[in-house]
Order: sequence, then structure tokens, then C-alpha cells
Amino acid sequence: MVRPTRTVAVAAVALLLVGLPWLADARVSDVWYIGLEADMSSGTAEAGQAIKRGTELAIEEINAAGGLLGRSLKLLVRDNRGNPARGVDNILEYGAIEDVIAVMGGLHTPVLLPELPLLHEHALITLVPWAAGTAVVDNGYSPNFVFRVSVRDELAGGVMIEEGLRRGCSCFGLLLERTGWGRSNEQAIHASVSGHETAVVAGTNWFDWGAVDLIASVQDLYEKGADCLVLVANPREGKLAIDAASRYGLQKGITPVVLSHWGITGGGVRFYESVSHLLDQVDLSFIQSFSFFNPRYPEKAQRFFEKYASRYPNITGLKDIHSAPGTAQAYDLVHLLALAVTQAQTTDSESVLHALENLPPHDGLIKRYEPAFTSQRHDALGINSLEMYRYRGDGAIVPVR
Amino acid sequence: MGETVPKAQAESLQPSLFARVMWQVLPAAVLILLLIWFAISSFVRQMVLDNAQEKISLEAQNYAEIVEQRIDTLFNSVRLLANNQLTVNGLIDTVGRNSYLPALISSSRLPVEAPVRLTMTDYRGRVIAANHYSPEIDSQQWLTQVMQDRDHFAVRESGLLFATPIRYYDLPEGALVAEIDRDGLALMFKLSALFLDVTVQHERAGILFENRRNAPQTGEGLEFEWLGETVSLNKYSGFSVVVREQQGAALEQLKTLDGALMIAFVLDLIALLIGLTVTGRKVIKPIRELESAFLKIGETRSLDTQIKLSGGREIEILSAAMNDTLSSLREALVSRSYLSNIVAATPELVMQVSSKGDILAANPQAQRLLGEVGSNVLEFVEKNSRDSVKEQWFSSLLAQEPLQVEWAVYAQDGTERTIFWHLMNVGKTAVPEYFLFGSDVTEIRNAQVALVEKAAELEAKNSDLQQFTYAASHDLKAPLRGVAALVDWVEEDYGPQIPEAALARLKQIRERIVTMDLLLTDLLSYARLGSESFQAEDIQLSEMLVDIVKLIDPPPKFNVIVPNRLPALFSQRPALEQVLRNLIHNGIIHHNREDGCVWVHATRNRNTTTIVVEDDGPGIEPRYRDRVFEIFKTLQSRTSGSTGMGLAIVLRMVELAGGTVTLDDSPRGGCRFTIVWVDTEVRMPAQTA
Repeated sequence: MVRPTRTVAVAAVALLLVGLPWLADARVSDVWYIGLEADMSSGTAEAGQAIKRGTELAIEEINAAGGLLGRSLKLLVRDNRGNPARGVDNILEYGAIEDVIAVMGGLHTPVLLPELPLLHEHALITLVPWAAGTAVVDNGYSPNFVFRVSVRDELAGGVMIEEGLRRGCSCFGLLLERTGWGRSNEQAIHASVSGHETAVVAGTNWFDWGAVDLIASVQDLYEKGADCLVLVANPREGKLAIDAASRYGLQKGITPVVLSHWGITGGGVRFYESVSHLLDQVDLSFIQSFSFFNPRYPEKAQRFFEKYASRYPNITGLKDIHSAPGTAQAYDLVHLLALAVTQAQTTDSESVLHALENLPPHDGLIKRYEPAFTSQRHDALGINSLEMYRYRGDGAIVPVR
Repeated sequence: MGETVPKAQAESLQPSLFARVMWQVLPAAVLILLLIWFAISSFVRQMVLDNAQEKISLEAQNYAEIVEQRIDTLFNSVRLLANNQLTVNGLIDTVGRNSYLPALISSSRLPVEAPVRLTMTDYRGRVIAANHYSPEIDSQQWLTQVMQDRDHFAVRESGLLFATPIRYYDLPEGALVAEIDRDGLALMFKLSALFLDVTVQHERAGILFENRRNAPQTGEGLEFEWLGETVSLNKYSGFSVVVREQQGAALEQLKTLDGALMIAFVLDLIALLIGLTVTGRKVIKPIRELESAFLKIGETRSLDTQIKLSGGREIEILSAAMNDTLSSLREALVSRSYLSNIVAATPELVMQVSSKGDILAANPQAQRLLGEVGSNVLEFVEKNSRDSVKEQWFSSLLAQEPLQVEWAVYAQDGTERTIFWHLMNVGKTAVPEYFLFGSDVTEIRNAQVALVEKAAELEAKNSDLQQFTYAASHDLKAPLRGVAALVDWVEEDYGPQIPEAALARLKQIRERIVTMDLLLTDLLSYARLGSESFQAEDIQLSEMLVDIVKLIDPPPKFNVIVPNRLPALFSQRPALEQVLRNLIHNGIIHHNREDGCVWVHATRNRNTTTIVVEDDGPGIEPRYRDRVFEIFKTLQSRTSGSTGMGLAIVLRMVELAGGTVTLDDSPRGGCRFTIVWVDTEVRMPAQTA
């Protein structure tokens, strides 16, 4: 009875000796993944590309510095075409991949909002470089895995209203897309207006994705007494709104003031080219959180630009960096993530979350984060990071002032 | 006229004309009627069938179009809903869409007469909104196609499914699916005003709709394939529309048609019989009367018959035409009698001959000369010219031209007669009828020969006389010059010794010699007239007259008046010049006053010039007017310078020129010569002839 037992034991040991290294290889990967989930091919593909470039440059720097916890970082890309259904499926896919340490999501608030349950179900650290919906971060989940270096609608509404007041507007006509993002801004703008005695909302008109013209809608707002338009739209509908405003201006002999959220710049140079012929007839300004033309740290921005120009083709000047906030914010987010993982010494979501909420001050491309996040604040950019910008004659985005 | 059959016998030998007509015409007419009936029947039958077939085809085509149109309407309305901006927005606005999307889908009323189950899905076919309570879609085979941005259409046992993409930024990001079950399809394809059996079927799903409005009862009729029609609906593959119609309606039509045609046939037959009977009465009876009338003419050989027929306008016209014909025949017989008498009485020879010259008929004169009918006229031709005559004869026939020729024949009495023959074809048809007319010109030709001989004789005598005159006048001049020389010698040798009286006589001798010389000169000129010919040329008459007057050099008080403008003419200048010189000279030398006047004027006619030379002298008495043109005839003494040859030369020269000269009284008191001078080119043919 002993002999067979010994034989089996010898065989088992031999098997372990042969199989362990293989099992170890199979279980231990040498990369961590960051999963990009953005519009890579539809109407705001340039914004998705901008986020991807910022992420890539940061990953390259981190990998060059030795990676994270002994592994290199690698980017996975999934396209959501701005469609929430695709976004949800992408998150499901990332949830099934073990070494995904974070999801980089953008650019649409309506895509992110339905993803939140899955993101939290799979405890995926979610980095938001471009999606302004207040509810994206203030989502009610605890723990809340969403961290944002981007505009927050609650603040953006105030910036746009302040700009309007500076331009002598007092009666604001709101032109909002009928989505969670539009609704998020409605609240923010009303809150801001109610804080100013001289400001009122003339009316709110909603439009749909897929709208074919907004002429009647714009005219209706002016007829309700609006002297400024506040626009919350993506490039396609944004173009329709600017076109409608220019028609109204020509008809009445005025130059309509359009204060826009930054969604229109998600179309990059394509959007500029589609409205450039209207910019003499419309006073268009829009929110940006960052511009290479007005960096807080010019030297750092210059170094970044040099890397960017050497990494990507056809870059001759700053104006060639399209949707620059997306790139800069993604870049800073990846570095903040790396800091947190290093600080936590693990990729465990809750540990990384905790580390992100307790990071030391960090000099990012956009600003000095002191600190970036806290347990009460997952938005890294405050009101001071937001400013109104406009298009220069060559399509470059420059500060209004 | 050959043998005549008596009228009664003729009638008994022949069957009744009416019976013959009925016997021969009726069967043919009935046969033709039958053929017409058959042709019309076939044609109308085919037309009815074709119309039925065409109607079915048209209905099927219309119905196929309606089916297509309704499917199109369904598809377009589903596409429209898919492109609705609220639908698109519903894809994106996951948080807020429940507040409007279900209401939108539920309240959408598609313009089809069937309940449509609408389901809106995301890009993976997961239901977002629906207007029904069981939003499972039986299969997602359509999804692949829709996500490739193409519409999907399928018909299954359960019904119809149509799926179309919902696009944003031109990318298919969702789908809208419309489903209609089989009951719904029956409603959708039903037509309220349809009178035919219609089946809409699909290759996989089978019959989707069937209208059995005209379904045959058991045991009654059948569905005839020749009236059935299938029309394919290819636009959405798999559909077809089948339209059928019972044969009943067409057969009813054909039965009605057959009855109508049979009635028409019977009526036609009755009409034919009535027509033949009427024809018998109206046409055949007059024809029988006509037959009797002509039989009577044959029996009596008398054309004095009047035909009286009745039976309609045409028969009356025929009757009148027959009477006219009889009248014409009577007149023709009378005319023929006259003509025969004329031909018999004419002194000319008249014969009817064949083309070979055989005498077919001849009048008495021809028979007397050449003999009986039956002989050949060419045999009578004088033998030396017979071959030539035959050649002319047949050439004339060949050329179909009349022959007019003169040849000699041997008469029956053995004499040779010269006949002027005229052969002509008097036939009015293609068959020629030759008549040969002959005139006996033997005596005329003999007289002509005698005349020619006499003329030649006279010509010879005249020529001799002319030669004699020429010779005489020419030869007499030499001794005359000798006499003149002798007179001169006598005066020279014995001048002083010659007594006064003798000198006077010598002077008279010399004057007579001059006169004699003038006479001989004129005589010589006269004799030479016509022997010289001159070239014709353009003559300006007024210029010529001025030259003549200068040459004549009239006495100082004498006037010769010539108008400035006189006609020009083309003639022999010397001859005309001689004539005018003689006439003007005559007017001067025969004038009784020194201050006399001669007028010359002329008028131009078509090819002659009339020249008048008149004076105010003593004139010429009518009784001498003919004599003045004779040679050596002068009304004055020779010593006046007149030889009596001037006017003879004028007459001779004018006649040689083909003209005339006349003499009468001038209204100016003297005499007037009127010359009609013929232009040379006009005269020349006469001269050569």
C-alpha cells in the first residue's frame, strides 16, 4: 500500500517541479492596462484622439521611468462612438480583464452616466479627462471610483454667466441638449443666475441629438427677451445653433452673443472649419480648462509640446494640438494614477482610490494639484481653472482676455 | 348575220335567266355569307378573350403596384420614425428617455391599414422601447444587416419584418423594427373595391392574402388558366401577385355574341333572297325585253325599232343608250352609202391594200386601170423601178409614215401611166388598214416635160440673141470709130476747102456718131446685165444718193431733193446705184424746165425697201408708160441725150434683183417711179433655185 502512495507522491512532486514555472507565467502578467473608452470614430472622435494622445504620452513617461510596481503600463482602446450602449458594453469588457487598473472615460456625460453602475460594480477606477456632467462625479456611489480632471458643469454654468454679464447680457436664453449633460447644465446655470440680481433666464429650449435645424428654437429664445445665448451642445448641434444665431443676427442687424460650453470643441478642427465662415457674424466664446496659448507653467508646456510634436505627425505649432484640454487632462490624470498606485503599492481598486484621495501635491501640466483630490472632492479643477476662450483667425483656441 | 333562231325557239332552248341567276349566285352568296360570319365570329371571340386577358393583366399590374406602394409606404414611415430626432436622442439620453421614448413609439401611427409592432433597439438589438407588451423579436438575423447600415426586410410564416438603422453622425447606432403578423398583412393588402380573385403570396411565407370573391360554386365552371394571370412583384424579392378571373363573364359574352351573329346571318340570308327577287324583277325582266328587241331586229333586218324598257333609272339609261346606238347605226349606214358613192364617182384611184400590196378592194377607176381585186399593186409597177418602189413601200410601213411617191405602172390596156400614189394607214386600232390613193398625172408630167424642153429652147435662143447683141454692139463700135476718124481726116485735110453746108453735114455726121456710140455703149451694158455678180454690202441710201447727185451734177437751177435720213439696206451696191442714177438722170434730162426738181424718198419694209423717184416735169402719158421700159424706146429725139436704154436697164436690173418697178403720176405733177428692192440675202435662194 506504501509503494503506490510514494509513487503518486513522487509523480506529484515531479509535476509541481515541471509545472510551477508555467503556472507562475500564466498567472503573473508584466503589464497593467488602462482602458480608454471614448468616441474614437464618430462626431467627437478628435476629442477621443486627444485623450488617447495625452494618455499615451504619460504612459510612455511612466514606462520610461520603470513602470508601475514592476510592470509596464499599456493602453487598451475601445470606441463608443458617443453611444451609451456601446460604452456600457465596453465597460463590461474591461470589467472582465483582470489587469485593467483604470478606465479613462470620455467625452460624453450621457455615455458615462449609464456606465456608472457597472464601473462601480467592477470597482474600476474611472478617470474622466473630458465630461462635465456634475452627476458623473457626484454620483451617489460610495466608495466613488470616479476622479475627474476636467470641467464641472456646476462651475461651468457660473463661468458662462459671468462672461455674459461682463458682455452686458442680463437675460439668458438657454439652448440645451436633451440629455443628462444638458439637464446638468440647466441646474448649474439656474443656480448661477439666481445668484445675480440683474440676471434672469429668458427661457430654456431643448434640442435633440439628430436635430436638423435650430432656427425656430433660437428665434424663440430671442423673442422671449434673451440678449445672450447659452449653448450646451456637441459639435453637430453646436454648428446648427451658431448657424441659427448668425441668421437671426443678419435678420435683426445684431451680432448675437453665444456663450458655449466646451462640447463644441470636441469636434476639433473639423468643427472650426464648419463654422469659421459664421464667426464674423456671431460673438462666440466657450469654456476651456487649458490652453497651450495660456499655460500656467509655460516651461512645462513647452517640454510637453516638444514631446508631442516628436511623437505625432504633422505638428508644426501649438494650434495643431486639437482639443488640447483633453490631452492635457488625460496626461495629468495618468500621472496622478501612477502616483496613487505607487503610493498604495498595489492596484487594488479601493487602495488606489484611497491613495488618490490622499495624494501629495503634484505639479501637473495644467496646474499644481495641492492635492488633486480629497475624499470629499473628486474634481481636481476648480473655478480658477476655467476660462472663456475664442477662436483665433487661424483656428487656434486663445483666451478671450 | 348568221343563222337566226326564232324567238320562241330561243326561249324554249334556254332556262329562265332568273332561275340561272338564282342557281348560280345563291350558293356562292350563301358561302360568302358563311365565311364572313365565321371571320367576324372568330375576330370578335379573339377580341373578347384578348380584352379579358388584357383586363386581368392590367388588374394584376395595378394590384402589384398597390402592394408595392403599400410596402413602400410602410417602409418609408418606419424610416421616417427612425430618423426622428427624438428617436435619435433616445439612443443617447439613457437617463431621460423613458419620459418621452415609449410615448413616441406608442403614439406613432403608421399609414398602413394594419397593426404594426414597433420595437426600438440599441446597436446590439436590445430593446429600448416598444409599442407592444412582448418586445421580444423572434430573430436577430436582421441585426447584422442593419448594423451594416442597410434596411432588412423579411417575410416569414409569422408575418412581415422590416428593420432600419437609427443613425447618428451617419453611423448606425440602433435599429427600429416593424412587424406585421399574417392577419395584419391580410388587412394591409386587402382592396375593398376588388372584383377579382387576388392572391398575394411570398416565396417563403406562402399566401399572405387571398380574396375569393368570385370563388366558383361546386360543380359550376372551372378556373381556366388561359384567363389566369400571374404578375411578379420583384421590387421586394419574394412577393408575387396572382390575379384570376372566372371564365363565366367572358363565356356569357361569347354566348351573347354567338346569338347575335346567328341572327345577323339569318337576316343577311333573308336580305339576299329579297335582293335577288327584286333584282329579277327590276333587272332581268328588262334584259329579257332587250333580248326580244334585238331578236326582232335580227329577224326583220330593220333598224327602225324603238326599245322601251322600264325598271329603274339605270335600265332607262340603258334603253336610251340602245336607242341612241340604233340611231347611230342608221346614220352610219346612210353615211357609208354616201361615202361609197363618192369613192365610186371620184376620178382618183382608191384601193384598200394589204401591207404586201394585195388589193383588197378597189373603186371602179382603180379596177379599170389595174384590174380585179386580188392582184398585187406592186406587180403593176414599171419593171425598172419596181425594186426601188418596193423598198420605199416597206420602209414607209416600217416607219409607220404615209408614203407619197410617184411611179409608173402598166395599165390593163398596155399603156404606161404615171401615177402619184399616197399610201396611208387609216386604221384606228393596232391592226393597220392601208388605203392607197392614186392620181393619174401622166398628162401633167408629159406637159411639164414639153414645157421644160420649150423653156430650154427659148433659153438657148435668148442666149444666142444676147451673144449676138453683145457681139454686134461691140463689133459695130470699131467701124463707127473708123467713120469718126474719117470725118476728122476729111476736116483736117480739106478744112478750108469744105463749103459751109458740107461742114454742117459733117457736124451732123459727128453728132450721129456720138449718138450711135452712146447707143452701142448702152446696148453693150444692157447685154452684159446679169453676167456680172457683185458682193452684197451695207448701203446707207442717203449717202449713196448724195454721191449719185454729185456725179450727175444737175444744172445749176435744178434741185434733187434727198432726205437726210433714209433707211439702210444690204444689197449689191453697183446695181442699185445704176438704177437710181438712171432714174434721177432721166428726171433731169426729160424735164421741161431748168428749175425743175426731183425727189427721192424711201421706206423700209420687212425685207424690202420701197424707193420712190418722182419729179415735177411733164410726166408720161399713160399710153406710153409700158413702152418706156422697152429698149431704144424714147419719147424724145436722140439728140436730147436719151438713147432709150436707161429705163430698159432699170427694169432689167430691178427684175434681176427680184424686185419690181412701177410708173404712175406723181402728185407733184411729173411722173413717179416706185421700186421695190429686195434685200440680197432674201433674194439669194430664189436666184439659186
